[in-house]
Amino acid sequence: MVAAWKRIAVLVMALALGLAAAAPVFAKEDVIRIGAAVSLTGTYAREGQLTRDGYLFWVEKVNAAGGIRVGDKRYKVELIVYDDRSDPQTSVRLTTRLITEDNVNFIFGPYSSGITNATSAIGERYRVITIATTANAPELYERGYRYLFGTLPLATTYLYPVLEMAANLPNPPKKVAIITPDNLFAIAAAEGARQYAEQLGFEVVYFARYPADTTDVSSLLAAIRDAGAEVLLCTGFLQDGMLVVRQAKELRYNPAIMGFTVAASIPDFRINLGKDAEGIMGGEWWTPQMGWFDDFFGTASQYAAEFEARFGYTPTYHAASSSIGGYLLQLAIERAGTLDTEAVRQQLLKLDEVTMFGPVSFNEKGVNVASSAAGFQIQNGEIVVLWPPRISQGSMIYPKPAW
Amino acid sequence: MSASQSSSFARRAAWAFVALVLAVAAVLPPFYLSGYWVRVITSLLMYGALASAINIMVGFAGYPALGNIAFFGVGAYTVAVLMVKYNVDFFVALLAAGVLAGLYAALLGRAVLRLRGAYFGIATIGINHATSEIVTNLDSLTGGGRGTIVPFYPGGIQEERMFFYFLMLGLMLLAVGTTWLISRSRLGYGLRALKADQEGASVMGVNTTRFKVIAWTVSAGLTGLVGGAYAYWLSFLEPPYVFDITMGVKTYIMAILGGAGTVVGPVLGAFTLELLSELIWGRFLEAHMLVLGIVVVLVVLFIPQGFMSLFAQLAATLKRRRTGEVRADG
Amino acid sequence: MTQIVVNGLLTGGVYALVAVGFSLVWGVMNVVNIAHASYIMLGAYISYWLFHLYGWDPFLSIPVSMAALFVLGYLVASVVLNRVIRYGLVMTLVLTFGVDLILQNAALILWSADYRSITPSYAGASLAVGGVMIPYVRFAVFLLALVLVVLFSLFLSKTRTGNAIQATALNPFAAQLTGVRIDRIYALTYAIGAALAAAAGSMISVIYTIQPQVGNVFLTRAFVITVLGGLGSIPGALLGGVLLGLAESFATVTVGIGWSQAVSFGLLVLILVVRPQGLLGRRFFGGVG
Repeated sequence: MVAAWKRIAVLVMALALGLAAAAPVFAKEDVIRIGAAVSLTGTYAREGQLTRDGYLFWVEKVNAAGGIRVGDKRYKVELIVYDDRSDPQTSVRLTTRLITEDNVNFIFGPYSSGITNATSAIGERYRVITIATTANAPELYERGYRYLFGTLPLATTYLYPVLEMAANLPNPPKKVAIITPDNLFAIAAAEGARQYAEQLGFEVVYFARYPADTTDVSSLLAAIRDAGAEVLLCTGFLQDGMLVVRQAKELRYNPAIMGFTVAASIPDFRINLGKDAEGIMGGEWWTPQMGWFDDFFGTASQYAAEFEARFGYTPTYHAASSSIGGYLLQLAIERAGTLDTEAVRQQLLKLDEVTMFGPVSFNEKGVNVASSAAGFQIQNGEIVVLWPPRISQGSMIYPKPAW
Repeated sequence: MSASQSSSFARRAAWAFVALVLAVAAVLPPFYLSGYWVRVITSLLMYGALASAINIMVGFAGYPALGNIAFFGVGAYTVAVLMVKYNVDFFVALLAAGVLAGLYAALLGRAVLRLRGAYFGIATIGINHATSEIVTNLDSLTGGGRGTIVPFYPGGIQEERMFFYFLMLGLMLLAVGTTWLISRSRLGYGLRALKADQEGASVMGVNTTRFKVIAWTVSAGLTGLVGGAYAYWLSFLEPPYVFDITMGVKTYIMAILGGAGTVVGPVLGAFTLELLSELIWGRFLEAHMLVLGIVVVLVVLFIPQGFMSLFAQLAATLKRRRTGEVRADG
Repeated sequence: MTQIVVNGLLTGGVYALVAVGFSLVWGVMNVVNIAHASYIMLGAYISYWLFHLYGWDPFLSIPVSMAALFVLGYLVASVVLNRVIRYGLVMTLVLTFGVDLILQNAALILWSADYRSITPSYAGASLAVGGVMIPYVRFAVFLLALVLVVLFSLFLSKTRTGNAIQATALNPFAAQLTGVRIDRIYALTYAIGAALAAAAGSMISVIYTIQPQVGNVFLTRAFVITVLGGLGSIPGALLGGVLLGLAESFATVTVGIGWSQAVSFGLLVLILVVRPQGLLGRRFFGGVG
């Protein structure tokens, strides 16, 4: 019987430990509270951390500059971050917590279109503005939400620059293959690319969706090689990109153009693949090389340098988009002169800015319609922006060097 | 004799009092708590219902239905497809979700329930995976990997909170009530006999296959109902999130933690584990899942028979002590 | 078409190695070892770090990762698992789930969720045989997986300890009567299972991209293969692995890659219903009622 009591004691201690963790947070005055439930663990941990660091960078910078000016007062920004474990149910719960317990004024969105789809519904119900910085599947913005703003252009346009570059070659390739993991964002990018490719006169000879946790695409690539595709476009994430490159090399399948979405611009891609990454192209929302600038962050490369000094790695578009999301919110608040949701929303809709992230202006749906993806190629281990011609830094290597 | 009568009256009164307190405690939260806590408790209720549903298979029949979460997914997608594609009213869709999930189990059950122990467990995991892939590939109907958006609850925030709170509460009570009925019925005795000794039960005249299929159908139907409610509550579905085997294993652990084969044990287990992981996470931002793992290991090591066994032991101790005192007096 | 067969076979070799340890633990101890996923992951990370920090070739680091996971496996089994094994399959499953949570999240905290890969100079090179590409690395991994499976099979049939493990699998009580110390055999079996997972992990780190959750996908494959081949059957795991590899490969080019997993899991349920002891399995635990 002593044993039973002991066990209960263990249990009670465990419970007490948990309860102690639930200490209340006290509100401070003259603070703008912004909440973010992002993925710090689970499937999206990597991208979620990039997103969080982007938010954090803006918060620290704006606070160092004295905070946000609202009317004639200056407000410091307080960022509350929770880990949604890459799970929409948790993310929804935490977003509710941010709104109803922590009383945040604004929400910074989570990573991924799928999770944002779920959490933005909460913001919409409670009339709290969500600035979604890494969620751009078109479905999100077709629901008629009033309080959702996305800093990225729609995912459908992701591979447009690669296709445009291919179409503008002296001897353009003809046959295109597109593969995508089965995921909201990636499918949107792939469908967009398919339509645009056909519009530009390419023949889409292969289009496939594969399960998101696929570890082996060699048979898929063999089928694509047999279909004679000269252009291989892959949407999806870092792991997809690395898998496709490695297995294409193993099969000695050498498409003249290989284009990726998220993967190719993430430094890990080049670090891990080394010279196999040479000549690979990508559409990208932002890289430090693009040469945009604004008064707050300076030039994109200054931003990148400062960011690297703070966090120890080169920022990706996730981070830059998240920092710029904060900056846009700051502009809207300062112009509104109040923290009132409706007034800030009006100012967000009126924004027409050029930032270090590129031009930004939102349409009624909350989509950033001013910006578009740039096209780049990996040359000598560096990202070289090639498209649009206005910001081109070099010339395209075509066809891609053989493995 | 009169002493025993009065003590039985006192006991009854005590139970009535406990029941009243519980009822009041169950009804109050959505009126007084913030949106966040109502959501947390609603999800406790949801897990309570799921753990009760899986308990019918795990605790009573002794079948490790690891992939029971498949029926959650089926229920969720039934509601989503009916509401989005066919504009069906939520409650009708919810009913369909329960029925469809139950039918699915009944159909599979005749084949799969011939398997025992781990084999059955693995088969259910296979069913969960296969069903998830099928739903993903039927993208014209289900939205596939893109997911699907279920319409909002039409009322205001406060109303919505209440609605889902009481919906999940109702489903949990339904699950617990069903379990209670089963525990007292011929089905329950049959299942327990089956769990103890399959051949013996069949010799004793228990129609084993029929009992097992019925039990699984009920368990799946309840799980499907909860899945359907979840779809409307979250308003966004993606196959990996509703056919989530980790979630399935979690409900399973909850049932065991509380006490497999008991009526209220699974609910207790669900509440404890969910609340604990919700609270732990606030403290250990990056390490909460690790801490949860440690909690799981500790529970298995120290209370392998679940909470209910602790209470039973405790009750026995108290009783012995009391009778001991009586003897000392006399 | 030949390319599809080659791809399937090469993938199948890795699958087989992943499944052998899992199948062994299940067959001998009646433990469904969820933590197998973490052991694969840890093996992969050991090879990754030895390559990254000291330039060790991943094939050379396989013994190191096997030894490390052998020790870890032995500890887990003797410190926690053996205490609850008498409560049966359900409890041990929950326990290994907890262990898996701990290890996976510890890895996440220590090494972050970054995707990493090992790219030795020879990575990606392949041998062309009449238009069919055979990647060197994957071929080497395939051979090595075969060698390990055969060696392990010999260990079970030829050594005293191996025989004791087999005897325990067939009838723990009888084995105990003949003087076998069951708890030691269990710890040893579990440790060997972990070591085999580590070997598979090391090889996976050369072929695929790794991160703390890398083991999960392979764990679900191990489930299918174990059932396909039969619980605790070593040749069965080999056959099951290769069959699954081929089935996925063919499903990709015929019904489309989206359906390939539905095919394998459908296959799993079908085999269970038709031939629950698996293709080459004997009946250990459970079975048809």
